[in-house]
Amino acid sequence: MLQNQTAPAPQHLADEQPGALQELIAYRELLLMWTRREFRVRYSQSFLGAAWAVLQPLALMIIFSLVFGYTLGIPTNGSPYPLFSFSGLLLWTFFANSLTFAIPSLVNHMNLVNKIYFPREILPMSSILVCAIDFAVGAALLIPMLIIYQVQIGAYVLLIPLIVLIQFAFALGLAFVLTTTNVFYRDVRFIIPLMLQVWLYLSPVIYPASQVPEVIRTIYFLNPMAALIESFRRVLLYNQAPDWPTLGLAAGISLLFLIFGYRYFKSAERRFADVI
Amino acid sequence: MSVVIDVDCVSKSYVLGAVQTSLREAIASAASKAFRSRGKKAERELFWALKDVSYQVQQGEVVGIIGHNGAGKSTMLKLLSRVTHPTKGSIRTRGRMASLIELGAGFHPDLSGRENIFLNGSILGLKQAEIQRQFDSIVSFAGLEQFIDTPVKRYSSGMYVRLAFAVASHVMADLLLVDEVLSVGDLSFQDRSLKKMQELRDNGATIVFISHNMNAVRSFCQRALLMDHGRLVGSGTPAQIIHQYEVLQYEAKMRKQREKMVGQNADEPKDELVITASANAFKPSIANVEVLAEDAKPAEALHEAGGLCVRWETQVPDTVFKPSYCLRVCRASDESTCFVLWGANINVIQLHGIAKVEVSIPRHGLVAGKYYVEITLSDGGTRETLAFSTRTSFIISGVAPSEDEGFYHPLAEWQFAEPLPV
Repeated sequence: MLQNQTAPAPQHLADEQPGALQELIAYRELLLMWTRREFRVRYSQSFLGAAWAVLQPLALMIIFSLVFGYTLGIPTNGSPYPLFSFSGLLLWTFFANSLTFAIPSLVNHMNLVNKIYFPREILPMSSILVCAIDFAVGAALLIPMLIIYQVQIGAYVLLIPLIVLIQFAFALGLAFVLTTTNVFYRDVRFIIPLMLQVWLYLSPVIYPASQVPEVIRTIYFLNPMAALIESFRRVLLYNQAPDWPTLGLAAGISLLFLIFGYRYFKSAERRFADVI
Repeated sequence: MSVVIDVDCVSKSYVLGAVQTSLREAIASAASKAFRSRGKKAERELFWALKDVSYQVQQGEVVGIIGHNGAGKSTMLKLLSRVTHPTKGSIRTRGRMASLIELGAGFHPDLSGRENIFLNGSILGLKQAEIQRQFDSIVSFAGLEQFIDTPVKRYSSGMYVRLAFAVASHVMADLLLVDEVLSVGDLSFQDRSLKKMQELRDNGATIVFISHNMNAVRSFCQRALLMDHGRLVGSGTPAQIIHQYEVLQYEAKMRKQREKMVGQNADEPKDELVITASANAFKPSIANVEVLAEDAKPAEALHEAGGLCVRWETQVPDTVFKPSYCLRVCRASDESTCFVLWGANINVIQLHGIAKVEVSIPRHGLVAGKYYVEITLSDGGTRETLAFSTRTSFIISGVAPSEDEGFYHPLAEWQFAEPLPV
């Protein structure tokens, strides 16, 4: 009975399945809506609301200033330690929070992933976009600090968007890899806090990169976060050009992570609903 | 007409048992695989939720998928909506698709109804401008004008579902996937939902519809597909397929009963006969249904004002206590039931072997036309259905009346009183 169907052969059905990027662009409004939702939800029913975005790096800045700046007297190449650590922490918090929020995003929205189709990368992407909003709020606090400490701002400040963009790409690429892995192996959830703690000490947040011994500095700057934080401080606090080779390396690594992370994510995507 | 859904030899398997979700297990299994290289590959048991399913749906068609729980209906819908992907085979769809599969997935309790409309709409693939344009219509359809700025966590479950359906049904989709959502809300809302679906259908949307509600399938769909244990076993008009489904359900029940009997006997000293018996050996059946004119004259003589005689044989290999027959006469054109006769507590209390049954209806009252008769045997005690007959058609000759003359002519006696003398 079924074989005898004399329906005409389907025409062009296969050609209409869009590519991953085209589809993401088609769903751009969902990305915005979902980011808005995540932002609203993250701070809903909390008294201080979005102020938490600033309080986290601010509290760490105070502790770091007391311990490392005041007590241990870590050199900062002439910059006041609170400003020095806050600028580093701002970028670091953006990165650490991006991973912390993006990685469980698929598993947290299991009911959605299981029932409705939409490009799944929207979930980790919007988590990171919310962290970018937090970063912007925190960055606004830098302005009064720069005035108080009377820092001369130069034209190099204009490079900040580029640095933030590279950082965004790196966090996103890494998040694609880890979010995917987390769907299959929930161990990732437990590894992340530990990994971020170690990574913090491997990056020049508390100390300047100039304190790192010359011999290992090449390896040291394989960590894109090292190059990014260092460049951020250079353009903001010292009005110097970033060290282009290390920043270029960071950009290259970030781009690789972004491309391969996204591919890995998309290739695993079709199995998400079955496994999650 | 063009094809909008093309499902080609699709199979879908799931791994049975615990899926490894920790790294330790993955490493352990990888290590054990490396050390034990001599074959045991098929260690993981696969469950085939769908097996070699192929069908096509034309543009504008309304197709119902029916089948028992676990037959693969929902998996089919998930595959169509691209939530999951086939293990084998391919699925191609054309046009904008919306799924009313899980209502309100993606609602966030802390956000207001208004925000959730926009959020849910964009999850379903609507553009902001489109949602904006349909916003009022969505809100009034859900009947939530007053509460639209209240967080949905304060909504009652009925309000929640109404809002979800309102959003989903306003997606102007070419292809709509619906999974048993018409049963939500109160009766008046159900009615409105069905109207909305009909409106979408009349606007040319292609609809794939899963339901356990046979009446909905019968009245709403043009075609039905029957799924059984992951296979597509039938495709045809809803009436045909629903009948096939009923037979299938009945057979499954009998199989289960037989297994139970075999299981019981297995404890006792082995009885070869019982164990090797086939399923049919325990199944009562109704055969040789004949429709005759009154006094068992051949059926050619069936006419409007006459009588009717139905005769059949029941084969019951095992004893059935208090057999109860149901004889249903239906009009062939629209399958509406003309009348049903019950034969309960018939003289035969027990059946064994072949029983002949004859029912005579001295005056059937049916107008000219084509009819069929169906007979069901059930257990008078448990009310369990034991056997179905196939449909047997017959024709009542005479002049077919027009629509407004009805289809039943009862025997009537008129009396006219003489006018009283003034």
